Amino acid sequence: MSSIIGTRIRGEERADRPRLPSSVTGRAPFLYMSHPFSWTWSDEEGPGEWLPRLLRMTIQPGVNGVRRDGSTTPARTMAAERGCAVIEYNDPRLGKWQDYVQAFETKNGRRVHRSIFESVRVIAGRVRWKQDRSEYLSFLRHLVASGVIPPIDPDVAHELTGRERSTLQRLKQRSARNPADPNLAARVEAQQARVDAMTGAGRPVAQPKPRRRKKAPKDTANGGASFVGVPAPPGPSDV
Amino acid sequence: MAIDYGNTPGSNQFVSATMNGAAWALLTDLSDLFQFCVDLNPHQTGSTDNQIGQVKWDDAMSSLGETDTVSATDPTMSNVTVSVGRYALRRDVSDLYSLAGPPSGATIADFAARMADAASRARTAAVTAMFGSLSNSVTSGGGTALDADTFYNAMFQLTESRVPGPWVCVLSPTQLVNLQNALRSETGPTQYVPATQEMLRGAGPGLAGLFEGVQIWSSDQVEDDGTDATGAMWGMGAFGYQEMPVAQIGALPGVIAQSVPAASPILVEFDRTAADATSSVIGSYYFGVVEVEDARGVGIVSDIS
Repeated sequence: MSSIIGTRIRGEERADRPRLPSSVTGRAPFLYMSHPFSWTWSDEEGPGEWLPRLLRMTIQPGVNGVRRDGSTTPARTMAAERGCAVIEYNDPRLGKWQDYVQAFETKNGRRVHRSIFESVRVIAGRVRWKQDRSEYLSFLRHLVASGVIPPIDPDVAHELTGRERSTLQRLKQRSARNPADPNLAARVEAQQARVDAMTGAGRPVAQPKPRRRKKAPKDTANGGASFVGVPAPPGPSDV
Repeated sequence: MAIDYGNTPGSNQFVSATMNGAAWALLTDLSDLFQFCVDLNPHQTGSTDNQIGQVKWDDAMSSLGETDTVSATDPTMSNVTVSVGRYALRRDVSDLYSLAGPPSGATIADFAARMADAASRARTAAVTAMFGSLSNSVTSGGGTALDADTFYNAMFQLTESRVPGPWVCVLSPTQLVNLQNALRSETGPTQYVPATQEMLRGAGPGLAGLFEGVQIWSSDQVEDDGTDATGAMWGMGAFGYQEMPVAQIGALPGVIAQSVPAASPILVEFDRTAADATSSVIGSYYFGVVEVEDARGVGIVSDIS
């Protein structure tokens, strides 16, 4: 005679589990996406590096092609036509970051979907979300290192650097008109350091170190396909 | 002995508290962003999925020799798909609640009337959910507050993309505060522009002001990731919507609906469960939103902490 085994109710299944206040609005689940032009220069940890800025496909019927049954087929097609690549929840290359969406429940039954990098605290009824920034940045680096997202294209890096240099240019012009403004001078200095790091670093994230130096190929027609460093934009002399 | 407020046991003439005649409406952000989206309109086409064809009219005539044969040139064509989804809200009101005399502003009729607000919240959330999928973005740097330069960078991005005006910018409340704070410390011409002073005025939810010709709105439905919020700036045509008129559902036998205007997209019905002594108000709304043209919008990513 087989025995009937009960299922142990764990923390998140308990009836008295803590929930978010009813005032919190629900949020649909999402898929992360990458885009060749969606990169950002991050200097939060270390001198600076190019990291992908992840886009989101909200999986909510009626939003951007998601069907009434939650099917994302048209949404994926449209995203692909815009140049986006979806990062699947179960991509084995994600490692410990698979299933990167978590759901929270409110007292009135709504579900709030957030990334696994976010945590929440309720202080005196006020809800405060916080992102584990360091973990998230590690995730972004891993996406590139594991090949989920290809490294930044040199031309894209060049273009994005150019925008930062334009910002620097404008700041310098304003600072020249307002030499007594210490706040503006500090911003010029910070932006100059940022641009210097971008042009000087010239190395995309998570590139494996070459074991031996290889002779440069003669045919450079397709030079952007494999690169070790991002070609530095024109020097700072014209900044 | 004086008659006082219930100090004498058994002679208390007062109840502990009474319900005021009117309910106070708590803070709610009812900004509606559909006014900045294009009505794509083709409803009742036999499917809940609707393809919107797109044509790019950018081909110029080319010069030819006097007797050369001109070859055909196809215009660039593409499409996007709008999928219409169902959105609904239900309020259950017990008979005892109604019989006891609820305050004005919180009666069953008020619950029905407020369904339009609920629909507005739903569609604004749907629009802000698309900000995170815009491929162009500007940022003040991860974990850095929004500054005026980033705002200008968004404008420059739209200019580079040749996006026709008018432009609108929707920010989270914290992003708006940071922008206002940045404008306070602006030097040079910007500080003297009347719009700068205008932007620094206190503003509630919704329209915050007009700066450099861009309408700036704030909404608490702009999404964030715990560090950065993703607002957006766009020109008309970046986002579009379809909604289905529900008048014919309201005309069905057995539907106890409020009078539904012919083109109304929101259906409000009453339902009665006698066994539970409960009346329900159910609002239904069928709509879909889509990013019609990615290049017409730019995300604005900045810190919210």
